[in-house]
Amino acid sequence: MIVPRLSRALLAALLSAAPTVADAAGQADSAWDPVRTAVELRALRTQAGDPDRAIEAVLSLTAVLDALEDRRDPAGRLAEVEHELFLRALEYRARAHLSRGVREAAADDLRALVLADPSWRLDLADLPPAVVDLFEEQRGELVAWLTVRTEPPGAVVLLGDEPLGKTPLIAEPIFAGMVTVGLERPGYAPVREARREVLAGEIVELERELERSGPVLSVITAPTGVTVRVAGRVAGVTGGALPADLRPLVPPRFAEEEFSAPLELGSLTIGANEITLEAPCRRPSRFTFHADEARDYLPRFVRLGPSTGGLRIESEPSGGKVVLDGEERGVTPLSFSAMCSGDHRLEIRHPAGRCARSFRVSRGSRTAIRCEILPVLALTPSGPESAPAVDEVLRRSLESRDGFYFVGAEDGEAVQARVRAVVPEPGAGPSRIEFLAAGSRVPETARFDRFAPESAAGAVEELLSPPLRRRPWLGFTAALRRTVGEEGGGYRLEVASVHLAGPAVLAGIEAGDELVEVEGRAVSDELGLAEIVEAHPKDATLDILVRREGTDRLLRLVLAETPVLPSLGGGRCNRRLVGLEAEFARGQSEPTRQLEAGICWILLGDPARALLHHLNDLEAPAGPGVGSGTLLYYGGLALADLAEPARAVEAFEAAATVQGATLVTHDGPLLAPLALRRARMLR
Amino acid sequence: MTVRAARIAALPAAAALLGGAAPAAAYQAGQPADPQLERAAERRFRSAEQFARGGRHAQALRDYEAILDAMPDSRLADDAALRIARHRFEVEGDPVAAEAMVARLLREFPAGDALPGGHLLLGRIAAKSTPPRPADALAEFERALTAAGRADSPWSFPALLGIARVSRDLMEDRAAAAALLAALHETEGALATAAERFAARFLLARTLARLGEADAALHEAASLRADLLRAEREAAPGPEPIGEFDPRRLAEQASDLATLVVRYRRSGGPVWRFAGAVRPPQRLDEPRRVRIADGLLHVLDRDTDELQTFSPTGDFRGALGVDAPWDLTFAGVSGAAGGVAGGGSPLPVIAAGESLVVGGNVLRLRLPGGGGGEPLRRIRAVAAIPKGFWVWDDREKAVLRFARSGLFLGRVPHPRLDEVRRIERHPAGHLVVLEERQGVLAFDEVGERVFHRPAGRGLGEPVDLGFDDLGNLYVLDREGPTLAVHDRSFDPVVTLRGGEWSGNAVRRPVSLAVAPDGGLFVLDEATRTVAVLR
Repeated sequence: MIVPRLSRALLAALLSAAPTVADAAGQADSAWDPVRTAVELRALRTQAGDPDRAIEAVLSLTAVLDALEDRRDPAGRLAEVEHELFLRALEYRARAHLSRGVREAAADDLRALVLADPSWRLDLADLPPAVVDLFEEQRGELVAWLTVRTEPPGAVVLLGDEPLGKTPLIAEPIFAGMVTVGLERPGYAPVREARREVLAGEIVELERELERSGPVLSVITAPTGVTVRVAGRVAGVTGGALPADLRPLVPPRFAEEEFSAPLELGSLTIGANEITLEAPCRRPSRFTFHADEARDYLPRFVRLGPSTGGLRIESEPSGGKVVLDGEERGVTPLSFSAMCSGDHRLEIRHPAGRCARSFRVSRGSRTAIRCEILPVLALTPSGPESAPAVDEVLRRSLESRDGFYFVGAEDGEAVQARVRAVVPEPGAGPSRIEFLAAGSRVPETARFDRFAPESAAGAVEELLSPPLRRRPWLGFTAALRRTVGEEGGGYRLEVASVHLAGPAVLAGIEAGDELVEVEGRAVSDELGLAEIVEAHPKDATLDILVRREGTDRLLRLVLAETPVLPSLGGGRCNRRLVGLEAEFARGQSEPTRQLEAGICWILLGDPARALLHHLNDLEAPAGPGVGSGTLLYYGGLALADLAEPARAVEAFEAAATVQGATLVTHDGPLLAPLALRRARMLR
Repeated sequence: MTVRAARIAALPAAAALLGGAAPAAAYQAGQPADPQLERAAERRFRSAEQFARGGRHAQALRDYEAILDAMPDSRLADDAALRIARHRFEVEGDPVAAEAMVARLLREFPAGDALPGGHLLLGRIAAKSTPPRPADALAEFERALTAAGRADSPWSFPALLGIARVSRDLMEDRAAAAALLAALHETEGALATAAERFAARFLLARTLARLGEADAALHEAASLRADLLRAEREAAPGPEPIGEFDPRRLAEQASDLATLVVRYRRSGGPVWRFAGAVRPPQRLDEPRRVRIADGLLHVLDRDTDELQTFSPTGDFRGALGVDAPWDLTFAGVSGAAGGVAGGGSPLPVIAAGESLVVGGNVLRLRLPGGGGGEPLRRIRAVAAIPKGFWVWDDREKAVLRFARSGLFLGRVPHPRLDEVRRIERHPAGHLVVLEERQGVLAFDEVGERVFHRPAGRGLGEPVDLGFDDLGNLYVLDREGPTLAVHDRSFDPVVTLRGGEWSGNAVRRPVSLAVAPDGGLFVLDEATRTVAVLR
């Protein structure tokens, strides 16, 4: 629930507004709510004036004050609105005390009120004269009155270091005691009065003529909020509205603009002064001002033209919520025709993860940002007593890791994975790092040495490194075969079998071919062949020299890919699921991936999810390798877990009929014997 | 050790069922174990484990017994009971005492985490008992699997391996393959040693090959080889074995298997080519048998009364003297062509008339009867079977089954046979006999004839037979000479006549050995050489 932001003005209005409006607003949140407190105070004000109900008002107001006391920050400060409510509550409690005839208590509250704000104005509604008298009595015991006039006027009056107002300052309440008054005005020498004692109720009057010390130039800008520097140092930021008396001075070409109030630059020197003006989304402006003598110069009007560029934000996958410089701006893909030039911070939030980027927009150019959504990884603290050193190692390790969007702790947004350290009591089990995918209740773990917290980094590396999910596939099996030869014969690497639907068939490779060279390298055993294949990506073309019936043939094989599915013996399913969910979000949801996700949920103990979200209605290719047989096998496994033995047996038996169906890769292992064993055991 | 709570909850109920066979008081009270007691038990258990590892089994046993008897409330009490049972069986060779201890384990700790181990041990005892009780073994292994519950249990892998081994012995190759596949792909791999997993993969490749799943077998063999070579390269720079198994040897066995499978996938059937002759440096005057075991060539010579051993290229490796040898086989070898993946070397078993010579030790065989029984005096042929031997005695005119200890186990049912030259066990358990007048016959377990290739019909003078790892039957006929091959269902695969199949190097063959890769070694008495056919 969002608590509406309130200004003091709105709060004041609410204190006298119709209860229905306030009540409606007050229901917005059950937590502390300034609107509801304001409404409550308004009701208590009436109650405070009724001697019969004043005691209830005292109690209620004390509760309000206690609640506000609890909201003070460590330095004892309250927010502006809270401070206002606090003082108003003090005032009403004083009224209630007076209604009950407890004058001392009322005096204490009013004294506290004066101490908090000597210029506090009492709420005039239903205000009893006795309250006014007591308030003034308290103020009279604490406050003196300061009047300051200067020539020229407009000097800032400082009480100590705190600005009190501008001259002419008439009867401003100040606390009695030792005070030092100062006067400052750009272009004039500052004045520091001698420290003196002021008595309660005393009226202090000062009149001073200021001594010119330098030139003064006023800068008036359109728009407001322009930072003005003199010789590179910030002199101020323009604000406010142009006073009516200066409007005739606005140059005709700027007539339509909204100009600021004048910003007096008092730090100028006689001679040339470099003045620069900057504002977000505006072209900076710079001019040199020549001051020939110490005097006030005519104000300078400066208009900063817009400075923007085009911006296009895309994410992979699209559909992410764009938060630009902390504000939600839409959903990717998103274009801005006029984005303020300068540095920006982008965050894109997507159900599949997040991405963040800092970038700069240049004026007049088009900037394109493409952000890859990464799974969000949160670090769950292990607890303050158990392993802060390990948590720190984890944090460092995770922050430096690619492939994840690391958030130190969960921030209320969706999280795709969590990491935590578990450090049991000595003897109660191994210390370990746990990695858990969203939705999973069975973490993957890696052990580390509790006495060497740095070893946790290795455990994290082990858990976060992506598991092998696909690998290049030749579509044939080569085996070393003993051959006839001298001295008892030799060996040759021979194509022993060819997968019916694999790339070897397309390349024209046949069972019985002797493998002579692959990619120009002689291959002498299965390991040599495997290493050449592992070094090439999918779709790479391999030149394979085979010997068939004594003739060498050069064949070209385009490497395909085989999935590497998790096996029931452990397949790092949490890590796999994080990757799979990211792929699904990108629309990559082909049957093999769905099958992989289904297997993982079975392994993680959620067969219903596996069936409902991944395996049901899935169509896998019939034939040897990973396909329909694999799907049927795991469907059977899920059904068996869901206590549907008859249907599971049906699925297992169907799986066993798929010729050459395999469990993990297109090459194996064969699933028919396993399926039949499971069917038999269920029967 | 993770099911402590379950055990505490379960035991009072179990005690009630047993009518007061009072388990420990702490269990009955459902109280957590005493930490002091646990520490004492842990110290004792650690000490026992160290003794056991150092081979000081008596001291280890005392520690285990102390835990079980003096600290029955300890969470290690059931583990101690299991260790004692294993000691009884594996060290003392006393299966009865081992079974009794497992029974106590099951009775007193019915929810203990050692329970699957108890069933596993019962399965092993049943599989190795005399005679073997394969059905009991399978049931116990399945119980172990059920009790283990989870794929990541340390008991799952050995239980499935047990099922696979017993199933293979029963020729239930599909069940064996399923168990091996489950062991390798459906249990937590990290809990088996690399050597165990490699051995299981090789067994799977062999089983798949025997099942006729040639593609799967070839892939398993090829990927096993690649992984073995990688393991060897990563483990040590030299050719030293890793732990207790030799990856290079297993890799060779895998390529032999691949060669064998490929040989039988060839269109037109298998072919052999003469690849040279091994001429032993010692003169063979009356060579009788040739066998291949452990990668070496073994020749039995009746003239020198020796078992001579050579490398495949003919380098003499040693000789074993034995009186009047008739027949030769190897124990621990599956058929004539098997290998023991990762195991020890197979032992030569020689039929020597009045005894068997097993690894150089004389084993007198007796039939049951008064005075210690009637000794066999005319043992002419021998075949290795799981956990024992079949022998043909020419006076009894019967095939008799003996345990490895020499204990008589019974007669193998078969019709009347007379001049038996060779006996062999078919991978399906059938008795295969080479009889001088009748030819080659096979009988099932009840003595029914399941195959007959008569002498005179395509066979002139059959002299030897053998099996390869796929279950193919090879019959060597001196006439021709001829080689006849039948598949595991006894359907004919190929019959090769005349000297051409042997490169005319074989003239008067007397014996045949089938190498693991399907290569043939033919002992020829005319040339006194061993012809190698690849």
